[in-house]
Amino acid sequence: MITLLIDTATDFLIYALFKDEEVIDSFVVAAEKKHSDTALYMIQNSLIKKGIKQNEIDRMYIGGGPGSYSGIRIARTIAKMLQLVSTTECYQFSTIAFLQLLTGESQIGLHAGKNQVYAQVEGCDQIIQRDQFQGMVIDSGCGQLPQKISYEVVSQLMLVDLAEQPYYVKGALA
Amino acid sequence: MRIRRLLDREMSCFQLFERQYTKEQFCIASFIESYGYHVYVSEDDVQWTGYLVVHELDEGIFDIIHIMVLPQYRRQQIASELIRYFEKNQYIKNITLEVDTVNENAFHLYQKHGFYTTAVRKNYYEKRNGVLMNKKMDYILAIETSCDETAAAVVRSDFRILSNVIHTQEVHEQFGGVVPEVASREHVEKLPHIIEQAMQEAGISYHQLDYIAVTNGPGLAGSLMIGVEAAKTLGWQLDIPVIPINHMAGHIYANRANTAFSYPLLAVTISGGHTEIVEMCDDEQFTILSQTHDDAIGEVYDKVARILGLGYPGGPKVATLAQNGEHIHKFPIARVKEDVYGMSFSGLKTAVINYVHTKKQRDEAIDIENIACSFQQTVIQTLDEKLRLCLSQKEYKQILLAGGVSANKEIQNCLKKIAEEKEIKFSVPEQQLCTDNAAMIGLAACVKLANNMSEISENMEKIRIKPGLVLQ
Repeated sequence: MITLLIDTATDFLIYALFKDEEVIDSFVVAAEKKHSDTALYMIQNSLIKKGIKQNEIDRMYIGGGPGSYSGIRIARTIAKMLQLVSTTECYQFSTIAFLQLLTGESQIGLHAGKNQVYAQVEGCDQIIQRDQFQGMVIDSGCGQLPQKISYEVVSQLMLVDLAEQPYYVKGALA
Repeated sequence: MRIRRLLDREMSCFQLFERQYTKEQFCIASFIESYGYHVYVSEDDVQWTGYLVVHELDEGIFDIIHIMVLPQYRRQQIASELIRYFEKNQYIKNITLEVDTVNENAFHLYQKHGFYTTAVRKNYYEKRNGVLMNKKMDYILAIETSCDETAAAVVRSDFRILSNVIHTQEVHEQFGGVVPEVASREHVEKLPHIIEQAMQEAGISYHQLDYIAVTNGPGLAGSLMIGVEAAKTLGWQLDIPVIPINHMAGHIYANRANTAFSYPLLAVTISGGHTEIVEMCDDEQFTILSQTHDDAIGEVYDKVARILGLGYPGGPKVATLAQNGEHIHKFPIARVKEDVYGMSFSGLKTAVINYVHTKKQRDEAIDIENIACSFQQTVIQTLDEKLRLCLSQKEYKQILLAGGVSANKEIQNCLKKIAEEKEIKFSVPEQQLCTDNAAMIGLAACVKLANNMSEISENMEKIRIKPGLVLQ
């Protein structure tokens, strides 16, 4: 069972490839808002490096935000096209929940520009002022994300069908 | 004249027909009943007038066995129609045939239909050579998401459009114009369904595709990104190359669906984002001779529509109203001082807005139809003047109209009249190919394939969006 995880909702490209429960590749790189140029290319390279063919991906998990739609749409488009032409099962997960599991922090905020952060307040994704947020903020200057992503983290994610709208994004349509 | 596939129960009659009219030593009909042979006949009200026999060797792989037209029915394009009918109604990857070197008419017929010589069999027909000919067909899935139309089409490399699905995003009407971020989100959610529909209508499977073509510019960055990312993902999954296409070249090549190009030609491209007169001396060679220095014609139509209270998109409504109006208002034709070829429409837009505002301030009735007509005629006069200026510089053989506004009948008539005066060809795409669509992107890709253009890339990293891409 090959599982591919990708999150493009932040300024980082977060990627992991699993064979059953074993991590066979994973990385977190600064994408500098160029997910459209790099995401697919990095997936391709990783699969080639690990000797996995593009049609051997059984499941794909993508970060559905909250975050900038400029980033979210890249992973979302890739997953939707995979659904169209392959048998890959695709799901989305909350980027905040994922980063909480990944970092072990109970409060995670995602940089939303203009001194604002995307955060979970009383169980709801929303944008709040950065100075009102007490937890850890993930932004482009942050180097604190772990490079290795374990299957244990992924197995705890709550997965949602791609037919659902992505998580909260700034200016989202109702 | 009708063309159809021969019915199984007609085979014995066909055998008699064939024996009567052909000099072949063997009778094709005698082995036609075995698997994979298809017979197409042309007929009038009296009799069969010709036939085409093909053998399907494998899925999509055909060999033309025989084609014949009765002597009294020749020079009526019947053989061409038989080939066209067969090609239109089949999934074809490759067609081969063999022709006697002395049969020049047949050789030229096949050449006209895109067959090329692959080998010569020496002394195959006693002392005459046999020429082996081939025609390869590629299937292209084209994707267009440069603005607010989510579109997908399947086009074959012989410029045949197999499907053309367009979804116009209506969500923008409430905002009075296209909101880029909203357009991008709509593309993500709608594109898979549109592609699926295009594939179903074309009647082929994803693994029968040979190329993906996609608009990579000009257009809205967020919108282009969805199409390009989708194309790259499909190219990667299906292991086929992706061809990036210039949206404006696509508009011009929409004309290839119904006409061959005669170079040198002038293409008048008018849309919501562009107004240009482009010279083409060969495939893919574009030189912009004249262009707007400010607003594009489509944009001005929409803004005039808004001031007249016609909503968005209002360009076609202005054109409809203009039909019932008279050209009684003298709106200004702007000329660009430093650029004799240049066009300008923002002054015209302002003149119309000022006229309407003044009328409203005075509480006077607005003669909306006359305003629409006068505005449209001023636009046409500008185009007429600049096109004639461009035409005076060289002996052009054809005028093409392209872009979203090319559906405007008055503008079509103006250009057609100029072409008739100059005794050169005029072409405009059919209605569905005038507005943004993916079939035109597929047709532009066909041109690149026919010319072995180098932009076809299997390296996904090289394919990027270019929102400010220009024709060159």
